[in-house]
Amino acid sequence: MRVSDSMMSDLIRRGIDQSRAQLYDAQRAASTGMRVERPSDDSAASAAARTETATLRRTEVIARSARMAFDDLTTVDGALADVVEVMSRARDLAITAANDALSAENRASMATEVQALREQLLALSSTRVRDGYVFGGIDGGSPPFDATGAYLGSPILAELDVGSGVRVPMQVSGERAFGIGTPGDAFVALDTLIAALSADDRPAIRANLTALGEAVDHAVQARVELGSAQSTLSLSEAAALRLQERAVVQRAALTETDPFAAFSELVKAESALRQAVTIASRLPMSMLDGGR
Amino acid sequence: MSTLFGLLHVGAAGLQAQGVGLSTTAQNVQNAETPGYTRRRVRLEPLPPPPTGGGGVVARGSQRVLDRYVDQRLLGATSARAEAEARVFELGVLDSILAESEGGLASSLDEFEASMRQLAASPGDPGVRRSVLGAVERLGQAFAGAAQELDTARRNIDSRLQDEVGALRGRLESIDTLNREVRQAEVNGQEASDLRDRRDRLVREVAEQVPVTVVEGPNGPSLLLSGGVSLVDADGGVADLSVAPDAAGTLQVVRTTSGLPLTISDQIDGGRIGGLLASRDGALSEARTRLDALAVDLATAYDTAHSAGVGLDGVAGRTLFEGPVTGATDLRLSADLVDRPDRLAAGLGPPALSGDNRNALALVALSEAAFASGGSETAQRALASLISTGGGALEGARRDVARASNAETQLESVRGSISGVSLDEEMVNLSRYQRGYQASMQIVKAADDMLQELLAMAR
Repeated sequence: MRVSDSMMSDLIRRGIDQSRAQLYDAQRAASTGMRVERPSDDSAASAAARTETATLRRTEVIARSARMAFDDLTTVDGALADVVEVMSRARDLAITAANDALSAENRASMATEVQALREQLLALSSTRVRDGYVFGGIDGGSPPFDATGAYLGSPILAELDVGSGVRVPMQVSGERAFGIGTPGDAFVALDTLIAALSADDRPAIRANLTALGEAVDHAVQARVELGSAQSTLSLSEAAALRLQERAVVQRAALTETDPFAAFSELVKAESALRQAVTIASRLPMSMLDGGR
Repeated sequence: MSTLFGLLHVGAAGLQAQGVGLSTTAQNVQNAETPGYTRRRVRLEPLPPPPTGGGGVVARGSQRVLDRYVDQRLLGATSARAEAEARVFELGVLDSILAESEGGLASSLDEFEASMRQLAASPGDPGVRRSVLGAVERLGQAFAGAAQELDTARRNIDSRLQDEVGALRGRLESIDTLNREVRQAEVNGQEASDLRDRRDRLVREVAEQVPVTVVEGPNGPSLLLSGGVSLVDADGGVADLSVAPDAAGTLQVVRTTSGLPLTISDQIDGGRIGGLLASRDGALSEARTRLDALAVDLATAYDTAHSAGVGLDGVAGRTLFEGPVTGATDLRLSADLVDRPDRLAAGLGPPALSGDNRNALALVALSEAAFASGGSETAQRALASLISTGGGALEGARRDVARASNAETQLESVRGSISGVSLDEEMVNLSRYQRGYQASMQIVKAADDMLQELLAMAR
């Protein structure tokens, strides 16, 4: 092949240009640690990385919301534990009051204590978390029970979307927890007990024992349901965190460069440029040189 | 039978011919690195010996050494490379709008969807409600910003298109002028290689702008666009090119013949102008269309869901975005909701309850609902698809540049091998013509000596 001088000089120029471009890319990858910074670096990887980033953002919120809902339910659980305690104490008082050995004064005194328990129960029924009444269902803006113990809240519970359309309740039903509308209605049971104690009506006290027991059971059952919801939230949070970790790893695999490979590429690119410059300094050799 | 004067004539012819050779060699040496220079070769021809002629050698001028087929292929490679380079330059905007960045499309969509989840988790929280409104506004700004960047890129392309077509006209007119000058010079028996080189350089510059075919004819070369549209006629005449908007208002390249304008944009599939048209009408246009479609799909889906719910004021039927949304630039927070976070319809009602998140859950569910791209993709998937397509267009253009550059480089090498100057070769030619010149001098000297002796004998 006939080789002209411009072919040789063009070859050298192109070699240096290419080496410099490779060195630039290698420097960029080594200094930023990124293989894909812009969509055009690798469009398929960029699109996949976008999906991973979206997953990361989504799971961040899901994990945070699940944790928040879990913490809210922990507060509710504390309130329900107090409800169980209140109703258990009322039942204990009723069992004691049912004893024929007690005097009417003793029962009147017990009625005062039960009245205090009722007020405590009413206060517990208005437990608030983050400015919302926890036993009011989705109607968290106003107290769910009035002074008579009538339920004013919503029967609908707020739920949390934990991804893929799965919803977990964030609340416990105030109606169920307090047995509203059932024979074990906590407020009715306490009111009945107060009335029976005040009237020194032992048969009525005995007859109310079942209702008091059921009221305790309702609160206990609500705690069981709450525990189940917390368990689901905890699992959802863990799943979201796992997805988050996976998304981070996947995104890194798609967009980041292996530091050793990046350094190796950098060394190779530097070496290639050095060689290209060395060759450039030697050429062109021609008969003109021989003629000197 | 030759005479002594005939011998002198042979020597003189030799001196002249070798002189032309030396001159041509010097010209080649001087232009060894001149871009577009085609090396010359002297056409030496023997003169018929007596009795038909005086004998000796004559230089029939210099001839450019080239291969038209290689040159034509090189023009094609140049057009392909310039077209891809123009696409890389113009499609750069896609990287800017599609890359992950603070306030960009992707992060704004993430923030928007996350804000809906936060609303569902805390429907009564005024702070969360305000942050949702902020997220909706930023989503709209991101879409509008991306659309404006694409529109600016489009306007820049139109502006460049006008400049390029203006420059193309100038080059075509120069080629037409050179065609005439070459003809005139050759009619006058003058050397026209330099003029031809200049014309070839101009043709190469034209190939950088549009794909061009050179058809050699008896009166010189004609330049044709792919598809056969004549740009320069060898017999004289240049295409009247301009840019003009078509019925849709899009600037097109137009050739006017006998007062009739004809759009020729679809015949320009190479060169910078081809690259500009391909970028504008291809990837950029597609990205803009898909961005608009995604904006409309988002607005439709979220407006439908939002209007099904009630705000804390108990009013239902409000949209989330200000309607009607016809494209990416229209995606704005509804005027009803500006500074009114309480009007966000998180609940289904009635009545309006602060803890009601049922409609917020419906809004959350949209993040996993396939409502975009004709109901086949989620919004996130549609955006990822846009990134894949837009980024892919730029990525492909870069690959095309590399491929076309390689092809051009290879053909440049082939052309260089044929038409480039080799200094070693020229050094050999220099020695050869120098020797030839010295030998011719010897002939003249010998003839002169013999003539002197003959004259001395006659004295």
